Amino acid sequence: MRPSAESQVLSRSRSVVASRSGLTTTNDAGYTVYLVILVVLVVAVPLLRTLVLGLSNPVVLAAMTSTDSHRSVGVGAAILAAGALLTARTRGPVVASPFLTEFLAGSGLPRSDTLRRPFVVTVAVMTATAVTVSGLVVMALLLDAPTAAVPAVLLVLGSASYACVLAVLSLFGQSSPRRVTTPLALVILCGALFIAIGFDAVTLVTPWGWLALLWQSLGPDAPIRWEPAIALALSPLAFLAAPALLNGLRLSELMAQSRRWQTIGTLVQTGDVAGATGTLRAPPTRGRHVRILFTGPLPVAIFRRDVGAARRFPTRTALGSLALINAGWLTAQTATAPAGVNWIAAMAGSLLAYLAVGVLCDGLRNANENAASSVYGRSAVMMIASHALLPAVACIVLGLTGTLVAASFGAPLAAVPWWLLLSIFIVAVRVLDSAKGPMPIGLLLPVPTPVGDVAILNVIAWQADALIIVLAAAGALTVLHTTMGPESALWLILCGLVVGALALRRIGALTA
Amino acid sequence: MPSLEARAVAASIDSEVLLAPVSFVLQEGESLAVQGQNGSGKTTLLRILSGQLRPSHGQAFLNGEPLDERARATRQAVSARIGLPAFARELTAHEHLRFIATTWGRVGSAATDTADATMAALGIGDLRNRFVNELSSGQTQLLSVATALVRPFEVLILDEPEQRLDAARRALVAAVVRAEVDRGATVVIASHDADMVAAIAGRSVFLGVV
Repeated sequence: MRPSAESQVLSRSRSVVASRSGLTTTNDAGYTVYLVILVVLVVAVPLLRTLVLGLSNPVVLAAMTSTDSHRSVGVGAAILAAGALLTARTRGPVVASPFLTEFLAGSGLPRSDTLRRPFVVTVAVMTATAVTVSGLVVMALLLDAPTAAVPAVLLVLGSASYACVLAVLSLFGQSSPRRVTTPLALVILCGALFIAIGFDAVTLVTPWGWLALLWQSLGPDAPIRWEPAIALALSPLAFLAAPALLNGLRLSELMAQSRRWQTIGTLVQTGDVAGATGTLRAPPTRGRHVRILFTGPLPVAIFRRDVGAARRFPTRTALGSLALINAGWLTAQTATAPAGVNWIAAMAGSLLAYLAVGVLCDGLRNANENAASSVYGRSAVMMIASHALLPAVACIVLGLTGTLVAASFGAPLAAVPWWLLLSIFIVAVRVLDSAKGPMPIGLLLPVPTPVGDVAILNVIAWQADALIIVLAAAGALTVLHTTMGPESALWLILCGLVVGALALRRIGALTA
Repeated sequence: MPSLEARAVAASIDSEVLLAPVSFVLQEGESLAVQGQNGSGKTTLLRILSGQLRPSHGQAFLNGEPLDERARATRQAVSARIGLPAFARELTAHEHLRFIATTWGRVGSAATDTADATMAALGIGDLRNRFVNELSSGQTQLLSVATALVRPFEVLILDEPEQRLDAARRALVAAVVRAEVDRGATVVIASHDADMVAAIAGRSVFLGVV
């Protein structure tokens, strides 16, 4: 087929799809514009202002303008590049709805034509995000730190170019097997390590290094660096590889990603966040050689089962374990951090612990899913309690490691007994969350108010109840612990008892 | 003493009838096939007999006691496989069966032996090291049936065990279930497969479309 004929076919096909979407009337377009303006004015502008003010905090500004801050930028940018490569097989830049994917990629036209538009949309989103983030940082610096305008503008433009590089890397990751992308990502991470330890030659030859150099020129007396700016400006030439990469995408991979994200979208809309995150977890294909022994009393057998299962996801388990150590360290830092920012350490510590312990809760979730059946020979409560052992032990031991490391650097030892209580509380919230079941359909019913339907608030509250409990109880009490002392422990125990009672009630409802 | 009794059990939601009243008594070692068209209430009846669903009318009994899945006695006596279980993606096929056997009190090598025997009987012994996502739909169905057989029971309830199976596998499942009947178990199956019904069931109950 001649190129002009191909473009005509594509154009006609797109008009068919556009008419199918049902969003073509003037009223629809007008309402969308109205909605966007409202969201920008009511949500986005105040949020961005708050972020700029937060970044203008003297502690944050001092960190951003420190001598070695460009290294952190270089390392962060390199991690983003490696992440773009590694995560592309889970979510690449070309993900349309299953219908569109099959329709476009399954046609006889070249995929460099049919899939160009979804890729361009992703590039636009990534670039806009990069400009927004770098713009916020630059605004904070221009407001409160001695920063010249030219380097600030160069940094924003450089960030936009870097986003284009990330998009192409992500496309490369989506179209290439893991045996190619994983070593490449490791090389990038090694480069990041070199930057971190002060081997500055790496910054001269890598896009993430160029971004770091642009950051460095923001300093009060630093000269403007044109070389990295020019190099980054030329980086979008990487788009020349995009047609070949788009043509290299496989339909099976595209459909798998498309279906997965459609499922996740549906689960999120219906409030099943646990189900949505479960869809993201790749099934094991290795690790079957890890032998699981079901010996000993049942709680011990279940503990061994869960340990063996965790060993089958070594990367996930290692990341979760590191995060738990970090959570313990952050919690211990609450007592020594300055009064204005100690709540950040407390909230981040509790939140990180809650999220990290989730990687060890597969058995817990499975016990809840089977609670209503007679598959297992013990009661649902017994099975769930036994499956809670591994998360509890891991949270206590790994978190304590973090608190002890912090104590060795001067944090008070009072964080140790506090972490013990906090661990048990967080695992109790995990049990409560895993016994949640599907969202009650009643929460989706309209809630008419003078400002419109606020049913979405019910859905958000349902989705985020565990996070809210963790932040409101564990995070807040950790802050208060530094001033209240033992009394805060009594409050945490009380909160734990309430969470435990709610969890038992939910488990009872699952088996009813 | 009667083993399993349905006494005019029926199910409805508001005015919608899901299952018209049905009664029968099954003695120890008897087997019953529940037959009927789609929508006649077969699965609903099996859910009532396994104690997972309370009937709107009538009552189901096991050894004279009302069936209730929350009651320990019901859970210990009745092994029901209605739909696929919630498999753990981190366990292999063999580990699933070993784990279930362990929770039912079979420890160490006893659990392993039970899992081995169940897999061998259903012809899936060579799949022991596969994760569930690595099984075909038919193999997943066989593993699903195995989860019901690997635990001790007095009453076995299976909902369309022939689903997704080829003729040879259907005959294999029928033979395994028949052996359970011969051992003295009370078996209730819902099935659309005439050969399987003939091989397993001593009696049949036909449900009309409601």
